[in-house]
Amino acid sequence: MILLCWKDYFTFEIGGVELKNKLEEIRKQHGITQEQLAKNLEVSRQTIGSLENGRYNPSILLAFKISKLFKINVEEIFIYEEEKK
Amino acid sequence: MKKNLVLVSLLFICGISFIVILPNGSIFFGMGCGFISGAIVNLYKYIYMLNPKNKIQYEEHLKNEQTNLKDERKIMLREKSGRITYIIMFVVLTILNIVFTFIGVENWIVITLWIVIAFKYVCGVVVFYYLAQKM
Repeated sequence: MILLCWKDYFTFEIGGVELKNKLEEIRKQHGITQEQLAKNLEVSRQTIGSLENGRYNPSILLAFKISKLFKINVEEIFIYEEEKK
Repeated sequence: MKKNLVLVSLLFICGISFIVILPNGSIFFGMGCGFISGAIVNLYKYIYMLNPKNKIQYEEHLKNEQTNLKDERKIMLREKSGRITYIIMFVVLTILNIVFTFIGVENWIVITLWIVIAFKYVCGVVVFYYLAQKM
């Protein structure tokens, strides 16, 4: 029975729902560099770059960390948009 | 820091024992030399880091290492690359085994490869369900 459920670990989800964000705009408003932001959030600079470009969606923990750092609601930084079919 | 010194000592002891205790065989000699080289490189790193001049640089290096280890994007990438490699290896092994069967390689090689493929599959399923139960 277990062996038959191969789909669970062999399938790949390509793409997905996109999460737009205003991180770059907010960061520039606060006058801090990507490196400084990365240091404050304890992530790599590449992660900040990927977040700003929209190539990577953050975990809920990181999203809250960002919102706490800038003292802005999560919804104001990250905008959830449903995929158009 | 202490871990580094333990690693250096272990590598050095392994290298010396491979060369001295098992002198017959170029493979062991090569392995021994490899271990000793590793020990020398690690020892140099250890001495370099102990230097007070490099303290700030070393602390920065440690901090970067920790950040990279905990960085969620890199964790995700590591997991994804592992998964892709798992699937690629599955396909490669299966193709290789089919080719071996047609070429007429000795039976025990073909059987061993099939066992490896089966083990890989079962291991993947078991680990998946174990993690699913824990979560």
